[in-house]
Amino acid sequence: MRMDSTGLASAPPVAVGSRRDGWWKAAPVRAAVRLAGALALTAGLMSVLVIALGANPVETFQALWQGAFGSPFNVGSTAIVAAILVLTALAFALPYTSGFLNVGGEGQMYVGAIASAGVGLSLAPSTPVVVALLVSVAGGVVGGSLWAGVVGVLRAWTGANEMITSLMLNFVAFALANYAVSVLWPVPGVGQQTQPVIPAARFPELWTNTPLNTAVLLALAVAAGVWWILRHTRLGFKMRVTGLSEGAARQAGVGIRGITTTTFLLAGGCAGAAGAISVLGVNGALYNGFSADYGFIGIAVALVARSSPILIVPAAVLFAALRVGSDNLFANAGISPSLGAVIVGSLVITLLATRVLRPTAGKG
Amino acid sequence: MSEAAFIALVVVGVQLMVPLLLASLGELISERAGVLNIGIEGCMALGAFFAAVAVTSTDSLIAGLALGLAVGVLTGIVLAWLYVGLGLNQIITGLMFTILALGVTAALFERYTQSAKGTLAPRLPIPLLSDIPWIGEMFFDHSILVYGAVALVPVCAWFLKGTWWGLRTTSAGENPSALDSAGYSVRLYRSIAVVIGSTLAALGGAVLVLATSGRFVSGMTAGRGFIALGVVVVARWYPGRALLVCLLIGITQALQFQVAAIDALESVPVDVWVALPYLAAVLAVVIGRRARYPSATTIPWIGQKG
Repeated sequence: MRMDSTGLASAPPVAVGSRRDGWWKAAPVRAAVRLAGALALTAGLMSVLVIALGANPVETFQALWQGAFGSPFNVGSTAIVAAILVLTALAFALPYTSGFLNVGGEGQMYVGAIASAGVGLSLAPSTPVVVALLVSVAGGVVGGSLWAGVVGVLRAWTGANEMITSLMLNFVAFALANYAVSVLWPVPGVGQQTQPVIPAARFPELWTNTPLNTAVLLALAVAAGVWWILRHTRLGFKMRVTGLSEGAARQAGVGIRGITTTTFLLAGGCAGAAGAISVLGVNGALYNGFSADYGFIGIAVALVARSSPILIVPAAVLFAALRVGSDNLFANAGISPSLGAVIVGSLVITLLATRVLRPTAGKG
Repeated sequence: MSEAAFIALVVVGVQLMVPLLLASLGELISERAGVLNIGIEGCMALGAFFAAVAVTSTDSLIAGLALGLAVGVLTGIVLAWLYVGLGLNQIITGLMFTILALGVTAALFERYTQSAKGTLAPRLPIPLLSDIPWIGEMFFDHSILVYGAVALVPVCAWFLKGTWWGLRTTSAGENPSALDSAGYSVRLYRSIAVVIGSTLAALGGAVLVLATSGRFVSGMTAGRGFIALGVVVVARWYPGRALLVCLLIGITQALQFQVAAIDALESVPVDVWVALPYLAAVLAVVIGRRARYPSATTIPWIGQKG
């Protein structure tokens, strides 16, 4: 019933900004312009570097695309690297949701890879397929989890800055990997890799003649699991509250120490699973220096996805394409594969500078 | 452990301390002004690469230092614009800048390989002091780069405590709104501090090259810029304490090269010694856990509230 007679009804609302402001000032348009600006800026910076390296920018970008999606084999490589990046991104996103900065995903992935390799190569060759795979993956998850747990425990009980400790432990993990390939399980005469894991411990393939295998399903399942934990469980609720306001969480009876430790254990488990995939799904053994900065690129993936476990999947595909594409640059355009790291770094910085991304600071 | 082995350990430790010390002083000044600069690892790598370029093409120590310095100032201006001018998230920007810089130096390194030159920095035994048994050999018979870096410690302390500029810099990190009320630009003081910090880190990278092989190797900074973050915490943002902490970490770094001469430790795998400096930095952060960062660290200045 209209209430004109009483005069209580308010005037119909005037559409905000519809007359004076042009369509180009609408929020989605401005966001799109900013995104386009960021991408153009990155492409410009890359072109300068490519020219400095003595190559043709257009050919380089074509080679990048070819390298990522040019053949079924390359698509498979991109998919498997995306699986690894989904997991390392979750290793950053989970603590980030609770207000902590885990920049040790690289090291946690290394320890996961070491543990997976150790379990996978010491199983009896007659171990059934499912058991061998499960046990080896579990080894990696537990390894990464414990490595990150150190950071969580130090943060929870001594207040040590988790950003610095997790960063430092990366380098300790690199030394550990070197020890594994040179002393623990060396291949005589090679020196840079461990003995191979038993065939039963490797991920079954999904698409013949490509690197694509069931590891991709593991990554998707973990992403879905993390989404479910964060959205639909008491633990996830506590984690989110702690991230929004630690004081409010404490007042409400959340055990901050327990949540901190649990968060890091879960995050390390994700990174450890990434390590397991690199051993059981890609290389079949632990290689020294197997990671092309996957742990650090995972941070970029998580930021671009705004820490959403669902959005992390497409973001990981994007960064995996950059990574795999640039790995093939050397063969196709004579450019160093390090260009991949440069693209990732400058893309995230330009996204920040154009305010497409506005991350909140950690607790420090 | 024999006497000679111990002296050799400390001598190498002092040499390894220098790049870390320069990076730590840079980080210290930057954090005092309220900017956490994780990008110094990238600054070090860039400084190291370009110092090596200058040295391999001119054979001059001065040219190496000068190009390292120039690169430091330039990257400092870029970082100051990102951290202070645009007010971006310092931790993420710094980390991504480091990934970027390490990638750039790796790509350039593969394109332009350099030949080893050997150290060009002349050694300078200090008269009288270098004749003291043990101590003289350990601390007073080094290259001029070592003395130069150590001399910067009192200079930094004096800058922060004894000059108006330094006090205002500290104020920009502790209480930026007070500085703003007093009529000074918080952004200016922070930007200058970031430029100074990045320059010192780039010089640290340059020294890493100039004091050793004279040649850049991809990944040679090996996280020294990150270790500096831990050094600053345990040193409680005092340059003098940073010197002490850097010396200890330098000696733990030296162990991996000198341990073969120490019989009792020969059976320990070398990877333990490689990992030790990083574990020392973790320990430093745990010991310094009650350390209070300058209040405004990581908070961009966006003007007075209300």
